[in-house]
Amino acid sequence: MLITARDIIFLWVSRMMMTGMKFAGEKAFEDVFITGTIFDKHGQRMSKSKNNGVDPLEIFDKYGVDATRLVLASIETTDTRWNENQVESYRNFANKIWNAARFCLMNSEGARVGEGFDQNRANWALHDRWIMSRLNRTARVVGEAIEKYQFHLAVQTLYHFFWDDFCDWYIELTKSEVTATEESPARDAARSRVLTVLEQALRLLHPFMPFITEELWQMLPGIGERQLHPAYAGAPSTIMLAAYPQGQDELIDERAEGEVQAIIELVSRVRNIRSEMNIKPGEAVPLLVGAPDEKLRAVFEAGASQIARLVRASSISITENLDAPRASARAVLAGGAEVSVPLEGLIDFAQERERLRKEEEKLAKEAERLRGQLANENFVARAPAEKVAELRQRMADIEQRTGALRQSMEAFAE
Amino acid sequence: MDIPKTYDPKQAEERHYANWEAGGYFAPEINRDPDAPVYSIVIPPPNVTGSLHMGHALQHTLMDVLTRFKRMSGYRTLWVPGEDHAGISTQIVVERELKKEGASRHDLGREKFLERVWKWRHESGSRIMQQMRREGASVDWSRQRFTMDEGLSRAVNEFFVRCYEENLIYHGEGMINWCPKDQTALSDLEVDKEAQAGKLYYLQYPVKDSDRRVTVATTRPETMLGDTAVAVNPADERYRELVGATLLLPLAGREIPVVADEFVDPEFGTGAVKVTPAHDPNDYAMGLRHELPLVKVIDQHARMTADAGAEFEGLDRYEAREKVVAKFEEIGLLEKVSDYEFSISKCGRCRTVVEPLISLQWFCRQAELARRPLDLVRDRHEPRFVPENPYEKVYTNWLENLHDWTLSRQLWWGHRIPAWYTEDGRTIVARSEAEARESAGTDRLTQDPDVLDARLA
Repeated sequence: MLITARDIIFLWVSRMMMTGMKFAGEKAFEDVFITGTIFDKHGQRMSKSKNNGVDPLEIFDKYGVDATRLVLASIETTDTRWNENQVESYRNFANKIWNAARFCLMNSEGARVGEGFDQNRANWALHDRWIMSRLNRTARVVGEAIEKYQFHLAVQTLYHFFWDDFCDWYIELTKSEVTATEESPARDAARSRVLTVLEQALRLLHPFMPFITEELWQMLPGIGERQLHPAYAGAPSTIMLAAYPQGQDELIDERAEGEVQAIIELVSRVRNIRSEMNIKPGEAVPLLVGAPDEKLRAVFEAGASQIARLVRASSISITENLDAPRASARAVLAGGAEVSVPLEGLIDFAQERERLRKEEEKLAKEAERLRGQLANENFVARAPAEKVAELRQRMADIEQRTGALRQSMEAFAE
Repeated sequence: MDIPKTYDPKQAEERHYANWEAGGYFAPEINRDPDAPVYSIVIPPPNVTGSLHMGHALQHTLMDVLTRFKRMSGYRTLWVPGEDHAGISTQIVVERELKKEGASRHDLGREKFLERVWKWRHESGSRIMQQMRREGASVDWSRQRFTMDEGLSRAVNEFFVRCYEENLIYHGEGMINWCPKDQTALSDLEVDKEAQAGKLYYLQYPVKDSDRRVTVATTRPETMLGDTAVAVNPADERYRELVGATLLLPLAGREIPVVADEFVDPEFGTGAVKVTPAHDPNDYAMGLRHELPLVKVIDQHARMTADAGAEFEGLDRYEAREKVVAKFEEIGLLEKVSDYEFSISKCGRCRTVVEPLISLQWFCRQAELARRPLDLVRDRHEPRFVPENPYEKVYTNWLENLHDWTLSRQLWWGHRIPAWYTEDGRTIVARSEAEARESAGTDRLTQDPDVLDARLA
């Protein structure tokens, strides 16, 4: 295997192939991977004479090696302009993983990696079946991607798993069990489960982010020979020699994924409503859910207390058809379900109307100005294409927002 | 459980890498499974003069991802690090150091200079290897190679000798890219082509015993002193009757023929081209085809030779250019001068304009060597390129269009060419001086002073 950049291909590859075939009778490489070229932010080649080079060591110092490696792995075969914001973004990703791991470790008394999952899968709670499905699916996709040199896909898949599935949702869904004040076997098991998932996820991430994964892995209670690949039996415990998770097909559970996805969507939409309506975080709201599909209804019913906790609902009513008061914020979900948050008593209608009206006015003024600019032929012809596109996008955003505002205002109509 | 509030990358990076290296985890021996499959990567060796740049970081990251993944999947992995001795780059760096001390490599002599280069290599030459540790590269340091290691040197000599025995390597005159400043031959890869705004000069050559004149267009008027023919395309109506005619070459005072050659592009310039076999690769090839004489008018220092005529001898090539153009104007044979943008070849190292020259060098025939790899890629699409498009095609084109590879470099730092010369002019190619002596039947041998292109290692 050889990884090289475009310019050298002619020389090196061809000569190695020629001499290899002449003197060893066989080809020098199976695969030749040509990386993309990294240009500066203006699309120019980096060179000493232009003094536009970016020193990787400086980037390592600023953001850490692991975050930089993620950006580089994502480049793959595509020519790219260097953008430091990407590194910063992956540095934030590293911090998010750190924080999630910290939460797990600070609530790890009584727990060990590898424990907590009942022998019989049928006894697993929905969210546990879900996370194990997501984990194993991720392992499958990532393993295949690396074999096919699709590094970008591997990075994206791992990013999505850690950020969305593990940190944002699994930890939320299992929080009440993990942070229960009373010690109990149930609490220990929940804590062990979350550590077990984290440990395998770290192994998946290790080839890309070797340092932070080793640092965290070493802190997990219960790691040792059991996690090492059999080829390294007897070696010291290091994540470097742990077995790369293969992804077990029998743990992939489409149904569980679908069901939790429905709950995630419900929770996300209600949270959106809370934020749109400016409802204070501490304020509990009543929640009405209408789900014509009986299977979906059953899922919501089973998860009612979790849902209530995650959206801060004072009460939650799940029915076949939604019967919502006019003064409520509504959202439609996949699968034909609907959710509504009655707003009576939560919001000062008059105040809210006024606030919305003011915002609509402000947006209308901006839209007028933009319309003027975009109608000015001179301006459109002279301005850089990027700027014009930006303005058009802003117009589109304003239109969308205005539509949403008008809808809300209807809810508060006198 | 005591875990710090925030992640400190730097200390984690230093600590873990040191542990991994000390623990021997990077070596294939850590894998105890006798049936384990093998996975190995050789690093494209960065120059010993270099420092880590983004391109390296990108390549190393991808290689490390693969190596770590395979290692965790139970493969016996080996990723070999190494450095390229980088002939001319290294020599220049050390010469610069010497200059600061007020000396040159000639003051030291070859042996002492080489000692000095090895010393430099041990002290500052391994910067890039240290930087690789920072990246987290899980290379097996115990197997680190240098392109001038003894083992590799022996392999290089072996390659040279075997190819020579099969007549794939030859010593001879050929057209090469010459850098007048560095005073060495350069391979095509060490030459950069730059677009330049220049001038196209239209010069007129009178036809013998006639009022007619043939106009040729050139960007290098000074070379006209070395013309030994003018060529036209055989299908070009305009010059049909002139094929075989004789022209009077101005300034040089000799006669040259008009020849027909398919290579001439009727669309370029005037459709008639001046042929200077000693100073242009295309003209050299044409000269061989038509058995034209070689007149060398520019020397290794980019100055005009005695064969250029007393008026021009000793002048720098650009001075000569001005003078030639002025002369043509004086005698009314300068038709016109127009602005022209064209590509000019410059030395990749010092940016001096390269002079194509005929020189005695060692060459490697590529066409024969390329045959099997070409068959392999055409029939079996091997090696597999990722992405396949466009690189498989680029690779195939490259193999189909190889020129002979100029192997020799007029440098001191590098693999010395394993060729010796006897006093009576025989050339002995051997794996060592001892072998050469035996083969020659005498001790009185001088080794070729040049070194091999660093890429050969």
